[in-house]
Amino acid sequence: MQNFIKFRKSLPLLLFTVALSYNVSGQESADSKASSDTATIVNTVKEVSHKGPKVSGVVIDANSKKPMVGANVGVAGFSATITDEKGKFTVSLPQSKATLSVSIEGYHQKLVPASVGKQVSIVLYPLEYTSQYTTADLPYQSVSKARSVAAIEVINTKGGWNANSETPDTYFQGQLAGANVIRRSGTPGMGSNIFVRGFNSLYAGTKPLYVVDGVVYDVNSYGSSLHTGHVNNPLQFIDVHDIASVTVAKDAASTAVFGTRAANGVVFINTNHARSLETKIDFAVFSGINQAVKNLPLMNAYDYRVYLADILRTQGLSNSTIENQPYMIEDSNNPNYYTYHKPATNWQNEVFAPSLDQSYSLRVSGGDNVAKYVLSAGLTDDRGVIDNTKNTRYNTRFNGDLNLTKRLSGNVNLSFSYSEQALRDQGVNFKSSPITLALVKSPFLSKYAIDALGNVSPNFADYDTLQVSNPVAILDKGINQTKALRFFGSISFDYKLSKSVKISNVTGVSYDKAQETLFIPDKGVVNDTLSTTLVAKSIHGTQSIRYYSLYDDLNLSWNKVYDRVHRLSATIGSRVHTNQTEQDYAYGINSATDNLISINNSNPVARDLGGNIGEWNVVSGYFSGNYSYADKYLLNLSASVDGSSRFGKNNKYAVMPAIGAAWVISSEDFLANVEKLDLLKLRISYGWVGNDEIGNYTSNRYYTSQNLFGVQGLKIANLGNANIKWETVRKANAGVDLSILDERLNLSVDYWNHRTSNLLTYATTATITPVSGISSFIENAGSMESQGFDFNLNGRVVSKKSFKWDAGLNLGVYKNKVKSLPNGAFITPVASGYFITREGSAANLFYGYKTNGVYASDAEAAASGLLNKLADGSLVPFRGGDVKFVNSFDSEQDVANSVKIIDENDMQVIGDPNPDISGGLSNTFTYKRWSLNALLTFSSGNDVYNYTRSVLESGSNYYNQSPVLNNRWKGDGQSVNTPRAEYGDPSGNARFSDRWIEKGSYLRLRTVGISYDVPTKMGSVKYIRLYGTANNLLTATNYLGYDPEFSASSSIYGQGVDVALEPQFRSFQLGIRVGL
Amino acid sequence: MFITVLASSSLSCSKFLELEPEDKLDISKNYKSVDDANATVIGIYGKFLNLAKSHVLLNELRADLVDITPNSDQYLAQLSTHSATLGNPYIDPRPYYEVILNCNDALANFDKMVQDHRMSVDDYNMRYSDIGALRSWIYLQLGIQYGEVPYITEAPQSVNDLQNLKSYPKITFDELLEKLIDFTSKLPYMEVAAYPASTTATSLVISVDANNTQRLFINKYLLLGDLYLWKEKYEEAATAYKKVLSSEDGNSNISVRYNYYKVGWSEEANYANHIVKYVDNKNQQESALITSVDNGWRSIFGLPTTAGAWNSEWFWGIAYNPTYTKNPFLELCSNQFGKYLIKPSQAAIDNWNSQVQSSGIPYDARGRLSYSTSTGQPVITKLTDNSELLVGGGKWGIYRAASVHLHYAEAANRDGKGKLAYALLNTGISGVFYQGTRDANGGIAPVSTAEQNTMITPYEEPYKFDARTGVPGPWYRNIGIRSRAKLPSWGVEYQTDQIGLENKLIDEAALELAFEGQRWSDLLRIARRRNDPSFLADKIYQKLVKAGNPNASAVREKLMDPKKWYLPFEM
Repeated sequence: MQNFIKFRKSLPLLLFTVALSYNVSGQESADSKASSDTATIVNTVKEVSHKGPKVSGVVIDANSKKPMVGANVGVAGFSATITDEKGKFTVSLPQSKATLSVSIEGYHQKLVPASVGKQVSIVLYPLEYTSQYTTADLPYQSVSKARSVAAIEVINTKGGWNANSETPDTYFQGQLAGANVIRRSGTPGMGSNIFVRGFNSLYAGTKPLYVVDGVVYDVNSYGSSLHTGHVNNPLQFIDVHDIASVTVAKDAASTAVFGTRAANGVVFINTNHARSLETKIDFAVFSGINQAVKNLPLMNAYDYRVYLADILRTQGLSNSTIENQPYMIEDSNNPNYYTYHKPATNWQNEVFAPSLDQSYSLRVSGGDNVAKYVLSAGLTDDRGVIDNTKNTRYNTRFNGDLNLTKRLSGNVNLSFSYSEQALRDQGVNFKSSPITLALVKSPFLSKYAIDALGNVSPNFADYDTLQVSNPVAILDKGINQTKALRFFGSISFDYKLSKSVKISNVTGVSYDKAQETLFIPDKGVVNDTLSTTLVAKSIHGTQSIRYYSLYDDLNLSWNKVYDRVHRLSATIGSRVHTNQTEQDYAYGINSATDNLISINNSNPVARDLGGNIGEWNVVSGYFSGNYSYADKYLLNLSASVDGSSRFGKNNKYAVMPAIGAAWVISSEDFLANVEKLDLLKLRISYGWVGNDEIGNYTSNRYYTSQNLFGVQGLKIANLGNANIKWETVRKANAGVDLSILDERLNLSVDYWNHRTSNLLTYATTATITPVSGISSFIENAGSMESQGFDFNLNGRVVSKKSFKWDAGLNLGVYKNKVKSLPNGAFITPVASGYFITREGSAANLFYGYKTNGVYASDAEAAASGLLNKLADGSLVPFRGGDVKFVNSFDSEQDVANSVKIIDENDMQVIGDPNPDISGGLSNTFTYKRWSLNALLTFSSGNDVYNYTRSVLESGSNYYNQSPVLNNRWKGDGQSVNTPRAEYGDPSGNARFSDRWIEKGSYLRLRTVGISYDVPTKMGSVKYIRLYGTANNLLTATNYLGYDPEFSASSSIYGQGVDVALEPQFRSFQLGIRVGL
Repeated sequence: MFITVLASSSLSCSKFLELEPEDKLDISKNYKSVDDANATVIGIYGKFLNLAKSHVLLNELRADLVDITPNSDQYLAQLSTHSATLGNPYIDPRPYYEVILNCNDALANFDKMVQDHRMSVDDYNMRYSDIGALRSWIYLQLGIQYGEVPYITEAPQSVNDLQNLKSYPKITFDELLEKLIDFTSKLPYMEVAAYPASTTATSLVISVDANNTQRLFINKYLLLGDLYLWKEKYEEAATAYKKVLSSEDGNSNISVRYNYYKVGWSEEANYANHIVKYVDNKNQQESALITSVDNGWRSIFGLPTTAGAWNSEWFWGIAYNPTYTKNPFLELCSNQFGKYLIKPSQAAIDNWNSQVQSSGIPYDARGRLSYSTSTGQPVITKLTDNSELLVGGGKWGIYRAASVHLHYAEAANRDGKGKLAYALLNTGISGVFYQGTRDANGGIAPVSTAEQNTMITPYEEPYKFDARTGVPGPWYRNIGIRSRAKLPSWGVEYQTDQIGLENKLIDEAALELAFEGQRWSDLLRIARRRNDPSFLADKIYQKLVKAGNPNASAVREKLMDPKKWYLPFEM
């Protein structure tokens, strides 16, 4: 191994040494810089003239509608000229028909079919406009979207100044057709889960691959966070303002070179590089306010007391016993009276609070002929709406470009980011999640301790007699801290061997570390009983998670035109990627006081230490070749051969080929006379990609510790699956790109179909013979299929000189279907609910009981003839006040015994968390110096399991409840929709049923930004811009929870489950940006 | 260049693409030395300990001495009424085969280790024999519970081998016994202790958390005795048992020699103290019964495994340390610290209460010492004595002197040595075999060597015991199971009533060994031997009738079919 690594590491060095020596003797040919072409963007064009028939025309600015002076016009590799002061040009063509390439700094490079003798009028749009001619900067080539054979999508961030408090992954929301972007929660920096064209896997990863400046950027978080409901999001370390362009590659043709890592699509991010040599300074300050969320309705103290008495009664307590409970006694002389009879507390108001954000960023760029640089630094202080939470982030980046010799150029991209997050436990955590506690905590209690005389202490009250923690005490003393950093750096070199052959190498390093500290105080929090029968009062935790990776990509590319019409370009290369992760954690309990928070103060007897180490290596060889004939018929062939340490011995290498073809119909003669048709292109692609997130050591056979009282021994941990391999996804794509009316209207539509085979599944006890002694292992044994449409419509609705309105609509629809599973179906439990994965339907459907109201009386229940199978297996008749569960299936045995039983056989599909349509609608209005943009996002047809509401309407414990419970069934004959309250819910009325399934559709005015360009005449100040932004301004939804958007896990089995994470909140920011 | 890179990828990087986990032990790194072998042995016993709960449940709840409680789930109820179907978590054989898988893997690797001289032959013999015997014991349990099971001795190397396992034939219980006897009797190291006490660094006999590891390993002769007993090879069975019973007969420490495994009268607190005792010998006073967990008969279960007295009774038992593994019986039995899922059956309670002690107290005190009545509920204490205390954790006791005495007696009785069996059951060897002068109280008072010598059983090995009081012989303290429990002897007519005595032996086991995980095996063995399903069916029927179960008759009817004795088993 070492020999190989040495060899592979020294290979780039060796090649460059050879290249440099070659360079000394090498001579550049005169016209090398004229090798601009339609696919590869070259900024500087010299006027050159080959002999040929001529064409002339005019270039016009779409914004000002004035002729453009100095635009480059030419035919790639053949001729070039510059427009005159009237925007006119004349240029020679290699044949009677050819594609003209027209470009100028700050505008999209346009490709226009031209034929001899015909005047062409060319309209150019500025880079801010969403154009079919936008350039996608991919690691191995830059390609105009108008000539792409693959399904790619380009996001134009325009500097990202219209967005605040965003991470790249949340910023993409509503801007990518076919990518369902779901923000994980409202917590700053948490990011989003992105499903590019749905999902292709059950257990392997669902995230796309991120490639930043040509280097794979790992976005996984290794090891679960100490903080319930939290995910460490590495993408927060990329500052949106540092992003120059984002390209999302969706089909096989665009991703096959990334082979077994590309199943979920690839997101290419390029960061800013200096465009000019001039020294520029850009400084921005933003500040804003976050609004506390709208409270969920809860019972008031009076109603709650009545409810509580009801619950106690169902526990068999007599009325007199209930009246003597401390919180029921109405005698003010009772020492506990004031504890329970102070004015009611609105716990949600105590937990949620408005907060202030601020951010600063500074960018300096400039350079000389040899070296250019961009240096940026940023400080962002984002706060959440849970009191006392925040995310303070520091970003620094240095990007440099070097022109070392005429042949050799290089660049460096170094970034270092650090964040400090003050968080809170969230989600399913009834002990220390402030949001959950605020919902279930009794309203008649106070946050402060109160003595017998009614004096209020400054100390917070301890947990209460109903065994619910005091959320305010946790906000005050609890600690959920994460300090994380990432260094991500790369250095790359390009060496031109000749005018058409180039060697490139990029080497990248990632180092990521997250250090977490957890402290749950004793005071105010209910105790936990550990397995060792110890009582945990305070809880201390510390964790460190480390990720390191080294990446190298070396390739040779070649680009040449033959006979003026055959263009051939190809890249061949190899990648090596090594990755190491390590997680170490320690838990402790019971320090002397709540002021001693660090783990070394915990009780040494009960410390729990653990962690794990992971390592994996990937080696790939890849090829990508493009051929085009007359710039009309385009063909792409690409492939990669991936070897991974994760793959089993019997399947060490994956071969992933893809083919794509496109036909630029608008360049055909028969359409030459169609006015106002800018582009019509058909695309088709097919190929194989894979998913390698199958676990590091699934193929290994190893032993783990097994103790025998205090001695550690060894046991077989697994048998190892030598056949384990990547999941294979066959992707087909057919699309059309259209642009008409001088690009006023642009449309792209894609149909896609993904077939996953070798789907990772768990063999379980149902399939493994018991005599093996093995209970489960992972195998590649299933298959599934997804298909859908991506739709992208953009255009300029109003195009007046001083007022413009650009609008865009993008959306994606998909349907997923499991084709085969080893056992036909399996069920995954999540938060008291269930997902079913079953052949023939979508992989993650909610699976529970259907209901049909509530039995009004015992008689009505008896008349149904149904028996209720309880948790202990016993069968009891339903009673009045029980939920009417739908009896959908009677087993043969039940039929034979002529009984009708509500049992697990009656569970059925009750919801689908996958949206029918999701997407975004963007609008940009510009009026003189004013600009207004509004982004609407929507999701439609997705169901949500409102777990939070199932807790607040369970009617089965001492937790505070929703006012819906005021209308609960209380006596025979009462016709209501809410079942009776009964301690412990023996009838299972609160079981997972359609009662908790809601429509999660929403339409949201997600971002509204307004900016004003202040006129400035000071020479040193280039610009002053003022910004105002509002996030999550309006949301239209019928959803009953805080907010319909959340994603508790990147797994498909976490989607659509509302476990009370910090909701999305409304925020407003103002900012100023000054350019010097 | 592409070709170069590809070639380098495929050739040079073979190791680059084969990483071993750092926080787990890759197979390539295991079994390098005897220390690794020891770790495997410890790990296997650690896994084996997980079988305790199901061993007790399957052997007791399916039999007549343990019943379900209102807290029990339907699956436990199914065990009790012999209606368990596939899917019942308590009848899953997988945990047994999981230990077998580890055993098979260890045995195969031990073979390779000794071939490559990574382990000495002596070390190999002991470890191979220990793990081999443990596997045989587990298979015996599988045979008892499932009847027909596949006998798998190879370890699958990869998940691809799992499918092959399905094609293993299920063999009959008889065939299984033959294979187990063949394998076990030929093990290379056949000493009573699995590992000799030693001070070498690689010894497995060590002290951990105040537990001595000596007796947590299986006793091969007891296993062999049981296998022969099931196979109805009585002399061979008796020989094996006798080897263990007499293993301390020559010990120079006379306290060990006279007390260990003797079921004797001794009250030497450090060596044996297991008789049913009353304070100040007030045998007539019920209230004087000593119920302490470290004194008298109950101390058999309450003493720590390090106590000499514990070692005088127990051959095989594993202690729990609650820091690592909680005593599972606490959850099953206790209504205070656990879920109270099982309880003594009314039949078991009635059985104790129908006995009369020699003193006239109208019940067998062992009942009071095996369960207690806590908040109105009968609670099995035998399995949890000392486990409430954090320091203890209790233990899983698997094999003790009383069980060997009863099994040995069963073999002897069937081998025509009814008198010897009768002696071990009732009043002991000297009490039964002595012929000669007695004192005023009827006590033994030999006046001649000839009279002394009547206390040596008049048989050849494996039936020869020296219980002379004068010399004294190693067995002179033996007083029989019933005398130790202060119960009177059965009539001498049983000495020649083979079936009658066998019944008495099994009945005695119910009183002595209740809840210890022996009962189903006892009932099944006799029913099989006699080809008499009613022997088993009637006992279960009685339990269900006394518990008021309306299906009692149906269950009896079902158990009259020998095929229904076994749990369902699907490959």
